[in-house]
Amino acid sequence: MRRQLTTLIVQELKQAMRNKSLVFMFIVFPLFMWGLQGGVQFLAVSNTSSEGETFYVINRDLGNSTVNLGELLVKELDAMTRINASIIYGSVINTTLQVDSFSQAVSLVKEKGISPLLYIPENFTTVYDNFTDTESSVVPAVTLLSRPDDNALFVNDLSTALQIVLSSSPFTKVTYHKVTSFKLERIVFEGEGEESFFLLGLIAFIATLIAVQAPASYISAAFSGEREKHTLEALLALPMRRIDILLGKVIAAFILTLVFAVSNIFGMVVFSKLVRADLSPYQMFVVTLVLVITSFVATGLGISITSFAKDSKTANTVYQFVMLIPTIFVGFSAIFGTVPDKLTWVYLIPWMHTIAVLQKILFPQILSNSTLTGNIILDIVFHLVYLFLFVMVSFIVAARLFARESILKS
Amino acid sequence: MGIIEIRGLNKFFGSFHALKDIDLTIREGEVFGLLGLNGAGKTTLIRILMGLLNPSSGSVRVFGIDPSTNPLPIRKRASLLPQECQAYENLTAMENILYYGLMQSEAPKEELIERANYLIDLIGLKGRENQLTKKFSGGMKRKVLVARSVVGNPDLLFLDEPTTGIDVLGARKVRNLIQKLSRNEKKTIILTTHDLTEINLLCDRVGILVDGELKAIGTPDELEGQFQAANIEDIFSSLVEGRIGGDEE
Repeated sequence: MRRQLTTLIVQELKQAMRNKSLVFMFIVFPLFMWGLQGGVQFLAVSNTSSEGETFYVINRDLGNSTVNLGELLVKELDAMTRINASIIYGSVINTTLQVDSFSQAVSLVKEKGISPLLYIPENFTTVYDNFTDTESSVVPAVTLLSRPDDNALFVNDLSTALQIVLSSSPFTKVTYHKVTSFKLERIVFEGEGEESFFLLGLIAFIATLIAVQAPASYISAAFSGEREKHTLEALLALPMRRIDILLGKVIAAFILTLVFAVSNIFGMVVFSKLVRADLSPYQMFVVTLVLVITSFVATGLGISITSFAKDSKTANTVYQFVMLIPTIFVGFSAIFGTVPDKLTWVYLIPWMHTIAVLQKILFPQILSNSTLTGNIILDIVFHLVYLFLFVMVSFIVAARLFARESILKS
Repeated sequence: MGIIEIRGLNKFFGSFHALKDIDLTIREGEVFGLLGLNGAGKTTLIRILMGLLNPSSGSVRVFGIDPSTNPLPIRKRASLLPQECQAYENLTAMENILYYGLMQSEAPKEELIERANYLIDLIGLKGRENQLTKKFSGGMKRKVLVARSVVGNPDLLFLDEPTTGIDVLGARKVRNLIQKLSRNEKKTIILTTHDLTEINLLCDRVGILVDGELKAIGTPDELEGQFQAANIEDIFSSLVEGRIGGDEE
């Protein structure tokens, strides 16, 4: 049995590595996708570089007896403007303005066009000191004010930079308001908010898209392709149980997914260089891990789909339809905002969980207020268990379909 | 007792009656020719014997084992060359042959390589064994499949139209291989073919399937005597066209 399984896996991999479209999907496609997205971002950033852009900071923080966190925040932001890889590199920070109240700061932005402006209130350090992890509501600490006619990408970069600082030590408990325009519309940044998650959302979207697409060509070649090319009957007539044949192909798919993951790591390095996002090895590891899980889930679902299809073309069409539409939907929701309450059914789509795992592992402190179960660790476990069950159900369905008599003639 | 014992076998696909009350015994070491038009039920019968399809009714035993409940021991000793089978195009001829050898046999790899080389030489693919089969003609691919089906040294071989698409010289080499396997290695071979010369040359006994019914069984000589015909071709045509009734005769 072990020899048969090993032989099957080796031959599957050998064939896959000699198949140009599979090599493209597993190795070239991730590099291309990350590079393409990075390039687009790079061009966007190049055209609207932060260089020369000015932002204003009003720090009214009184601090406590030992520290003034407002000053520390300003210092960190100032440092970022001088770090070459930073997204606000080259921008100018103006700290000369003074006001007596938040409403005066609003007036400065609204009436005098002094914008974007970061307002740090008098009680910033106190809020931090009194903030506890168990607190369920979001405590506003700092406010970023901007106008509709501001350079939106710069404001976005500034917002991301602010988020990076506030989600690092010692600010990990702090949240902030972002006031966009002056319709008195306030968006409380709770983790799954819009602008600050743009980059992470984009990464999650690309990763999911690639991970869902990559196995398609192998699955259609390994299952409906066997039938279409008339190699299936002889394979099924070998002294090996069908479930073991299926297992061999799934293991081969998993090994290809690991190759694909390595290719993605290279892609992410290129991407992070292009967008100057400075993804850490930890972040890349988490993205890769989630990507492998996603790809494996897609494999399970894909095998079930292709077992129904009469040929590779039909299999590919059905696969694209079933996979791509939810992926795009989920991807856009990851980039542009949170899932509306009435649309919680979208959590039936497995990719919602892969993206959620990604976001919750990378930014637990930001998402601690928007958990499903009330605890971020429980949330992650819940998402992973859902994915595990989804894979199991997919493989059981696939095994049933693969074992049926009509597989030889459908 | 035969190596294959079939009693009262019926197979339905929905309302279509594909095999009708088949009774057949195949003895160890014989080459049995299965004749029939396309759709007569030859492939269905072979698939049932390999445990790929389940019978609707009746009893089937291969090596004394029921293939519908326990096909793996049968598949360790039996090999199938399906009618419409193709080689894996992204594997070389040698890789294709060894793949199935390693899957079917427990013999050491070196032994299988030796046998694969012997078979490659015998079917006339020497010098091409390390080329990907996607570069091969249809006939060459078929030869690879013939070699692949016998490399694991099975006791029982199901060869569903093994010479289809192979040129005259190639077909002769395949026939020689089948003769060698039968005479020297005492393999039991079930051969389906449309080539009546092949039946006369290779088969010890012949069964003629017409619309799922086994109309005649016997050696070519017995059948010629039974149906008072000059050759198998005449008997086959008469049975297919309904000019004679087969079993009722």
